[in-house]
Amino acid sequence: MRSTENIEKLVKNLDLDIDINVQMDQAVLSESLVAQKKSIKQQPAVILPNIRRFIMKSPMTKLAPAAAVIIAVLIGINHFGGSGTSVVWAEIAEHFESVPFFNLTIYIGDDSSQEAKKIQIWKSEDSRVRAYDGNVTIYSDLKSSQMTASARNFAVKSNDPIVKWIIFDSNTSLAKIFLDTLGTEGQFSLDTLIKSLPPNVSGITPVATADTVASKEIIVFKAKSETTPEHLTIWALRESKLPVQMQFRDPRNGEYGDFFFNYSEKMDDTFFDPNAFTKQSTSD
Amino acid sequence: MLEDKVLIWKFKCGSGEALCRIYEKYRKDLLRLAAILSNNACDAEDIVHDVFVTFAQSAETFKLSGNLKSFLLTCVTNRARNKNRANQHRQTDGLDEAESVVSQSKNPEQWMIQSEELRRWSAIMARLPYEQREAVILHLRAGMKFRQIAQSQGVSVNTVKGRYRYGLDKLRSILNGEVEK
Repeated sequence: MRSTENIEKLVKNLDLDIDINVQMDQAVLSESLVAQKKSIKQQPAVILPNIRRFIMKSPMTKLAPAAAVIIAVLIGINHFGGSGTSVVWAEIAEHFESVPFFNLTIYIGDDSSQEAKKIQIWKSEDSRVRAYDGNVTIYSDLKSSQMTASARNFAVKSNDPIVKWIIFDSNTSLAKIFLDTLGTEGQFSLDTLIKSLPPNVSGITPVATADTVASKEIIVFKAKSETTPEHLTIWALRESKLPVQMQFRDPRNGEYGDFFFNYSEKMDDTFFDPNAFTKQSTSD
Repeated sequence: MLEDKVLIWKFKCGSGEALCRIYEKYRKDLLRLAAILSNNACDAEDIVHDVFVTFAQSAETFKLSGNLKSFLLTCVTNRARNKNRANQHRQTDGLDEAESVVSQSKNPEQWMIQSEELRRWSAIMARLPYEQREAVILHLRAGMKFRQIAQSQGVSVNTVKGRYRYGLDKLRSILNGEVEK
């Protein structure tokens, strides 16, 4: 005779295996991808050059140099005469985009995950990138937007006239998704990453800290969602205006993301060369 | 998961790769839930298919305040409930015999391959009244809280707890009956 507790345990721990035919993946994905394309009417990559052209033709553009001078004067007054809290988020984001090389380590997880997932990303001086997510190493060239993965991609031919191929990249996805998010339009953008985390962030604002030795060197920024309790904290260096740590938290389920930036370790050329990696792997 | 947040953001920006990744990540959980709720492989495939296509259609307007997996599981549950109602409606219209013949046979278009264990448990669960089956499966297999199930079913938490208790009792008597045989 089984007790109620036993039944609960039994149902909870059942190993209900299931296998899905590639045809089902094709049927669902080809239709879903078409539906997604129809839903999104405007593609940012297509409209951006048009916006740029529109801005350049606008009469307002002629006033821009004058405005820039005024802003520069105001920043100068603020910078030299201010209390030291003059660093604004835009400066941090801008400096990060122009940093020649860096290493970013990301840990993500939540209350239910026993171990944090670790992703590492390295960027070289010539905008080449190497990423690693525990399963696979990915190489990317931000200038040419080429991405190669050391794991074989799995592609399924679609019957749909719009979506010809459905690319499955099961092992590489996590690192690749982060890489795609950070590496928008050929450069690493912190703003893009931040926009993708807590929903409806109103702005990134510096936090007033006590006048301590650390606060003379480090500035702290906060970003909060307007609709959920999710929030971001970013620590940056005052002098170099570079972020050193970023922390994402969702108190509802203990979801976290810790981002650590390192600018001191310069990797050599072969580190970013997928062919060198393949050669080394085969010789091992 | 933070990964889901990035995926949703990319999905909303039009990334097909993000949509593929979401599908790949959750398809098995969703199919398993649909199969056990509907006790019909073809219906389960239809449910998951419809959920994903509808999800993809909402790309531009989609807003998520909670967990992506729970959201998708709730969508599957709602669809399975509607399908079950439609099937019941058909049965009362006198088509039940023809329908049961179809559901027992293996459809040549069927793509999902269920394990023997899943098939057995789907059949056992099908002996519970639908509301009780849903409460037991969502709580024990999908890890949803009674409060969440109550919200998705539009009933009170106590009603869900009652359905869950009755469901477990019935399940116990079915399984104990099997052992005695």
